[in-house]
Amino acid sequence: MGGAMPSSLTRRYILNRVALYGSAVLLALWTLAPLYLIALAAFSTRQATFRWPKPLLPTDFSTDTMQFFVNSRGVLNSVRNSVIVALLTIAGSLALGAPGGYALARFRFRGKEGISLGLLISKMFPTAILSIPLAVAFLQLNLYDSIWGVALVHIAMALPFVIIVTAGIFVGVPRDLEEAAQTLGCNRLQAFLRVVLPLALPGLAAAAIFTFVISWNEVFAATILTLRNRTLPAQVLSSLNDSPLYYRYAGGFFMIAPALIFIFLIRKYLLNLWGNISR
Amino acid sequence: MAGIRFQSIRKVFGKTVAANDVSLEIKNGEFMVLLGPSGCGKTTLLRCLAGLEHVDGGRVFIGDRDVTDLAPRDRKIAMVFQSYAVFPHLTVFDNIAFGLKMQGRPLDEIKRRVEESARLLELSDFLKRYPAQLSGGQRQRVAVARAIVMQAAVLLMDEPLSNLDALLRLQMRAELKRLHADIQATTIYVTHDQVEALSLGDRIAVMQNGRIVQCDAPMNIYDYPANKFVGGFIGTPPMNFLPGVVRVNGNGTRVAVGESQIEPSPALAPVLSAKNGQPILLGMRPENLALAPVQQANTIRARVLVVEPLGSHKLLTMQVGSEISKVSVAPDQRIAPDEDVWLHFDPEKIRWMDAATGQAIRS
Repeated sequence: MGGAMPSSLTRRYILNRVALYGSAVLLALWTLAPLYLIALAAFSTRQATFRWPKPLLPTDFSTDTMQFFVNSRGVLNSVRNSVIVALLTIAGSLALGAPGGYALARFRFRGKEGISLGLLISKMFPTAILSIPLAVAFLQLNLYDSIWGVALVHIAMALPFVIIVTAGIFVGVPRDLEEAAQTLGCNRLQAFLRVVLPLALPGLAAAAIFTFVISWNEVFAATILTLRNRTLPAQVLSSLNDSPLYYRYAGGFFMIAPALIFIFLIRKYLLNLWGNISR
Repeated sequence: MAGIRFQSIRKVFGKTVAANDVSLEIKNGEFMVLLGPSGCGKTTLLRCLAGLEHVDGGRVFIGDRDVTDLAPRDRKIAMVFQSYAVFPHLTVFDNIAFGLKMQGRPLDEIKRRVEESARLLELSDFLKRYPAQLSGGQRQRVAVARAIVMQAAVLLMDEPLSNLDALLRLQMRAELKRLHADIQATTIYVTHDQVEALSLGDRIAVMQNGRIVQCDAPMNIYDYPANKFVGGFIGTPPMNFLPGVVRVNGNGTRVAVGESQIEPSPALAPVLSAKNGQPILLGMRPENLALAPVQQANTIRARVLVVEPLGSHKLLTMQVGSEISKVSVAPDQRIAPDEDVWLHFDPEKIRWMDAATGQAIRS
């Protein structure tokens, strides 16, 4: 009798673990399998893309497909545009968003809760609804088909994220440190620059990288608002219908890779940003 | 010269009044302790002096300067924070040098002064380390060194020892006292630990609900608490309080406590006689109560509930009428729980308080 209870408990524990890990593996496969297939196709010969059944191992590795994609008309130019837009987005959204985040983290003021909520509400409007008025406005402002215009939209899209995330970062820097700096001869700005900023830097860098990824992946506004000065996603999207299969695979991989690498590098900070407080 | 003067300071947080018309004058070179339970306004008062809070009313003076509207950095103060607030991204040297660098001192002077205060706090071997590589006690020393290196006329400390373990706290307490004797800066020290207050302060200002209820030398506060709150807050264990009633008859003035009669000291008898028939509180420190084998003058019947041998003395918990009293006796006193004994009250040591207001009755 005595032995029956623990053994059934043990069995249930094992079943639980199996179910847990099984689900985790399934979820991981769900994401990883397409990534793997894209990578496989991107690094095979062009002919291999059409072979059936597809080999699941990289049997005929080749950079031929990637070279074809990179050398296609407009691609390099669009990569350059994408990088510039992403850098502008980082600069703009941090310059505007970080002070906002700092204010939310440090100051008590009327309407603080409302502002925090309002930031999230702004994420509710789909870009599709805004796109036509935006396009019209940009045409009038002479911003249409310019990377400045795209960067402006990306900054607007990234701002709520940057404000909320930087607020979390600044909350993590104890107010005492800032006050100590003030008693030691700093004014508020000096205390921020000499004490808060160095401590917030890793988190801010993570926010910057995530902003980069947001901009790098954004396709809708970039497609609507540009014609010749495409960013990479817009370029790929517009040539998708009249391009061969291997071009699409290579383009897909080319866009996924930087985002994946960056997110992997900053994953620790992202978990922190999203409120994982355990240290 | 830098005395400090708080003049009718008022500070409100929402609906909480943290400082309610507080006035206090601190002499140049004095070690003043602000003591009180959490939420009494002691830290707020300190932060108003540092310039980290802006007062809602009143003025703050350092020396002859009205600093009420000055930024912290213009007040010529140095502060040690409860959390130490040591900068984690700077080495010990750079932490201590931070304030001097902000003042733009020449490098050789910075080096000399940093090394000097590091030596004073036994940090010389750790100057190249980062705070993360230090123990809590060492970090605390860095915070103190960073403050004293400024040679500010006013040194502020906000519960600097509260995050240390008991042994380290004892050690640092003595070091802080020695340090103050060395540097002679006017010091304001905030704590909720009454032992720290008694040990360190030239004077103690006891605070409650945003007001200073008593400000005096430590032993005066201990021996003559201004009211029931102070008597109950200071001392481990705190002062015992027993209710009594004043009785004036042909034999003079007596206070009836339960079945017993206590005779007040000659100095206080006339004051008490004016309260004939009124309830009164009798306050007595545990070490001023003595056990008596038989009934005599000024004794009260009591029953031993608990006996705690504490090494240097025995602490007794006693039932006196409906009240519980703590009594401290010699370690070799033979006593056991459930014994009935007589407690002797030395009239000179009794502190009488008004039963309604809790205010001490003085001659």
